[in-house]
Amino acid sequence: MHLSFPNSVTLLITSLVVVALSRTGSRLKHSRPLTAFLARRLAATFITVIVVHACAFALMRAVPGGPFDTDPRMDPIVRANLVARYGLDRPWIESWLSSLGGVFRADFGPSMAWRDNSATEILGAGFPVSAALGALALFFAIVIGVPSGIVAATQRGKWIDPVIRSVSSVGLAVPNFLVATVLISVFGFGLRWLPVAGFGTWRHAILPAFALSLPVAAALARLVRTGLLIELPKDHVRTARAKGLSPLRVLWVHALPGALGPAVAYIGPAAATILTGSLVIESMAAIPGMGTHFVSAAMNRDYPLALGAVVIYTTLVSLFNVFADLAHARLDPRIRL
Amino acid sequence: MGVVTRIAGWGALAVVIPVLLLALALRHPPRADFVVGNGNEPKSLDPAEASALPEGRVVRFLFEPLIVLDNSTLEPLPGAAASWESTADGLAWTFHLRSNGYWSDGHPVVARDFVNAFRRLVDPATGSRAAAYLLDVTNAREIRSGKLSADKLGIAAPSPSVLMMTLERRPADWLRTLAFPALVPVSIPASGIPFENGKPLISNGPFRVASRTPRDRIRLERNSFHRDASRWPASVDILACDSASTLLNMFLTGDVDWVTDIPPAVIAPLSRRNDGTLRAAPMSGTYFIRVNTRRRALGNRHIRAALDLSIDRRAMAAAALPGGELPASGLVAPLTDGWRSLALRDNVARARELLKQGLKEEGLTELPPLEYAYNTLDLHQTIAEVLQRQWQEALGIRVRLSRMENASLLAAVRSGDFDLARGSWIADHLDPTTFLDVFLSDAPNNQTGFADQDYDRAVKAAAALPPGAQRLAALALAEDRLIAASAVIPLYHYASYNLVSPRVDGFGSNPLDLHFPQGITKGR
Repeated sequence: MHLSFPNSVTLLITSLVVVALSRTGSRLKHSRPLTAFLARRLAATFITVIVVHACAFALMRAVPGGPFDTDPRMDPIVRANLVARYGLDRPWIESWLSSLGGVFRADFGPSMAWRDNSATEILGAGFPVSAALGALALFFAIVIGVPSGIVAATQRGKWIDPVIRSVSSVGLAVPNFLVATVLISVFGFGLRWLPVAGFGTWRHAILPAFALSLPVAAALARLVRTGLLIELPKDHVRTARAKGLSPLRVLWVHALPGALGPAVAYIGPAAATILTGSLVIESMAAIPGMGTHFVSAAMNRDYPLALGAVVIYTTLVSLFNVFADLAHARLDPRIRL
Repeated sequence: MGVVTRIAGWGALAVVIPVLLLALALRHPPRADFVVGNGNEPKSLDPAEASALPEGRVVRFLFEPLIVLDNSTLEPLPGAAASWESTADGLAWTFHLRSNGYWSDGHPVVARDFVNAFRRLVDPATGSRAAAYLLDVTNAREIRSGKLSADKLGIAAPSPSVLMMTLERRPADWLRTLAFPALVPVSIPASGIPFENGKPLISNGPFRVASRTPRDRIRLERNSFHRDASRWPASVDILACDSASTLLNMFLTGDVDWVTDIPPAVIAPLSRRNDGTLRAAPMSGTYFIRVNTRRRALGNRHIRAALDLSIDRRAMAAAALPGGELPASGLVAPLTDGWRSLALRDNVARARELLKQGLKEEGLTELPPLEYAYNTLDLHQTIAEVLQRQWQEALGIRVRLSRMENASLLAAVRSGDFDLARGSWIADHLDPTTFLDVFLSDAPNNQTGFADQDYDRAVKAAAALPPGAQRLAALALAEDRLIAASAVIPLYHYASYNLVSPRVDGFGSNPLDLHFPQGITKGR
């Protein structure tokens, strides 16, 4: 069976939420009911989306130039017709309300720049691509970042610690496009192992996902290292060690849960950003994701598409923050939801 | 649960999710026989919307107009029409359609399809900007302004294979105009709504749409009903990718066969490779500065002329341009058929005198600071910096640079909120009026405040003359008048650059940078 975009992503997200909730619920015996927490946070998300939508709407309309102003050859009669067709001559408040109404029906309206598709169709085509690439990047980031942080903290004072710290500083400082350029030169042109651009096979996804993951991996390494350095000298960890538990068990069961707090708090919003794509990487690697829309839709004054992208991003940031808080509560029994 | 199992569990989850998501998002289309790096995603495949380059290129693959042009000489060749004739005054035209023209669903192309298409373009409800090309057709202006209905347009289909058009005045280059991508037939379905979203697109050209992924690619397949189908590659991919360097990379690794937008910095190294893949050609387009004559100091023609003559266009070309562009002293690009080529008038000494004279006339001791507005692009930035330096050195005037993104610049220029602004015009066809009409007093794209009744009269009178040397001389006089007013300061004429795989034959080079797939054949 081939799942279409909304079904497949909804299914995936729902199943992840159910898994997360059931596991978290079983651990959070003494906290206030989980449902109350979720209700509160979902209401907050709802309000956030409305506020952000209103701000973005006002900003977009306040910028000079409209969607049909970029073509110097357009006849004024044609422009007037298009303005009327897309309802741009209606009062602001009316347009805003109708746009907001559309958001809750997942109908962002017709794209003003790409006339053959609605904004929902365009974002629906781009989001799974960005999300897939982002998930791979997030996977790379966690697989590289967390172990590096653990190694740096546990090997403090040895040569490996400053090496990891320096590499992660570089990873944070060097912009994505530079990393991508180097990767493309080496693996695309030099070794010819991977394609230089395009999307369609797993081989196309490796370089861009890796480039996307590096800053996140670097940030994770630093956060995990700092967290562990605070956690390792604590009494409960010392006690665990004194009981003769294996170093792996001390680390994983006693030190790490407390140490991961900052990293988990960071990864929520970072995940939202990385899953909604990156303008630079998508443009460099010719990836049909949705990162481009954040900029191009604003440039084209394609109001429905730009607002749709903003709403998706805001919703994801809010939801991932909820996930991060849930994960945090699960890791640290002192946290109450 | 043991620690190791738990780590393994989380690890497995971390692997499974990205793999699952990738599997959902990945499609694996094999490489098409011919791959075009087309720039931006086309705004629409409806020919009525095909006003920009990426749309025009796709529409040319899909649809066939009455006339196509030779890729090297731009000579009109039979397209959907096999032959045509006109009256001596050029006001009545008859086109005889091919008997073997078919739509991609197999039904024949008839004259009625053109009548429907042209009426639809002119109808104000369609909102097509391509209507501008049909304004000389009988009643088109009245239909545009809503005074008449679209069925009163001067176009008729007396029989399925005969199309007749009547014109109110003789357009400059009517046959080449008919080769525009928007002026193609349309197959109106039973619903009455052509190009409805979600319905298959019916086309009469060399190719038909096989599939489309937004912002990724449009996959085309040969229209097997087309008479010349066997000459073309079986499949074509039109890639939507707006990064010129990415397309260059893909060209260099053989993933793309035709790239239309090349980063200026690599044009020189690419031409040194000398492998025939870089096609550079002069182009009928001009890069210029609009001067806002409604501003106090800039209302003075001597001050404007000082700004014009103080520019060293050769130095600018050497500093900022890739190489194929020509420094311009006129607005009309010299490639326009039989057009003169003007010598550069750059003259700093004369510019200083003019500035002094102009300031005196305005009662000013020095020029108030000016602002030069341009849109965000490296090339425009470099040119702005060269201008700023040259004006400072030659005239001692201060010009502030104002960099805006394109929509803001166009809005500022349209509302007259600028001093000096970057502008350009690319020819629609090979007649000087395509440039000269822009600065008529009532032309919407004039935007300089320049309004000269004598200029308007000169252009209109010259345009009405029969084609020939006398007409060109009259148009040249009109241009002299425009240039002398310095409301528009030309900087250079464009060049076109294409990267074309050696596997392609018949690509051609021409001043309109048009490449009809009808002329392109698969090479090796």
